[in-house]
Amino acid sequence: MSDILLLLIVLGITFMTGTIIEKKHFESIKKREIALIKKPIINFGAKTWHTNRKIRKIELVTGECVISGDYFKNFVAGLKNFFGGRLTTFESVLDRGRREAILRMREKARGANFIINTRIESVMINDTYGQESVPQCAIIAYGTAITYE
Amino acid sequence: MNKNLEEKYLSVIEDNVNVGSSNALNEFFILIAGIAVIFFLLYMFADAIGSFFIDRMSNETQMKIENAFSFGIKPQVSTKNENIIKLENIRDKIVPLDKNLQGKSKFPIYEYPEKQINAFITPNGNIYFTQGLLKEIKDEEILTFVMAHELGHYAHRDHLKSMSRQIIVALVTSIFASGNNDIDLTIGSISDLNGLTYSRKQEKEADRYANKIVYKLYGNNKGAVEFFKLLEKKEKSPEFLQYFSTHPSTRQRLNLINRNK
Repeated sequence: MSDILLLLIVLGITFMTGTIIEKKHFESIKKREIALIKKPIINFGAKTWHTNRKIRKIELVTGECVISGDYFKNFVAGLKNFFGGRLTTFESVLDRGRREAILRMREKARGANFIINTRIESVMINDTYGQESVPQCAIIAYGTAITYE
Repeated sequence: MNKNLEEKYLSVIEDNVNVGSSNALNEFFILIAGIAVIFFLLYMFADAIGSFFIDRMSNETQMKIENAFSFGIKPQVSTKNENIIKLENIRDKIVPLDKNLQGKSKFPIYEYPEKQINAFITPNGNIYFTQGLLKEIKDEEILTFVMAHELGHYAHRDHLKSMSRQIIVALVTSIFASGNNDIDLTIGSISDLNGLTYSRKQEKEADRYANKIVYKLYGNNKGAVEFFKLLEKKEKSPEFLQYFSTHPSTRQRLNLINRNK
């Protein structure tokens, strides 16, 4: 009986902390996105890109983010495995990770006019099938920042 | 930049289509409820199957299974003090009353070194009485009730039934959970609660059986009533805790005994 009590306590605590952390993270993402809304403009997937203006600097910019769900989210996702369906608890985690990575990349390209050829990749860092594996995801956004003369 | 475009970007930031709108807590409760219902039905199914086959099992098969389970257990030598001899006399009175008890185990009786008031029967028919019980209770009618209760478990083949239930449920759990600790723990806890429900049912049946035996031997069930009153005096746990325990609450058992007069 003590097992289930401990589990309920841990679930309750992680649900509360996870909700608070997620809310704060979303708030900060929104604030930064609104601040960066004008510059630099990202351009996904332009294989050929032409300009007549003189270019001062071409630079690789990257933004990385490693993100994990809290215990409660993982638990619900584990139960969801039983029935199948969308893992809605992980959707918000992935969304946060992707937006954070892009934001970091854009913040790194400060002063540039454009980021072209932006790509987003996701990687699992640890051993996925290991016993001690932590459910996490690393998201890397990278592109070429271009600064005009 | 175009004003319209800027507003569009802002609305995209505000309205996030990539995140599901459902509440995680709601989802959690729905999932738990779903699993609870599934395992409730599974327990009913397992209980029905187990009872069906075990009630129809022949005595030879029962003995075979019991011997297989108790393989390697050395027969203990019981110290023959006056308590044990008294209990053996009671046992010899009860066994001829029921066909289900005859021709199987010899029901050896042992003392168990513990202070709590308790008695139990092992799958191969060894009956243990705790030293606390033997010290506290000297009345023959009460001891008859306790003995009949334990023999009732054996006569109903409760040990085999609970084992069959657990085997079926464990099999299904291991298939579903397949190494996922979270699911294993959740299902385990739900299964435990389900299992306890059936355990309490079995205890009630054994009480009813013991009540009948006491009536046959003495013509009244004073011993049973006295036993539960004694237990009630010792008990301090509140009523609702019975849902987490293997036995029904003492008050419920007392009511059951009184109703079956």
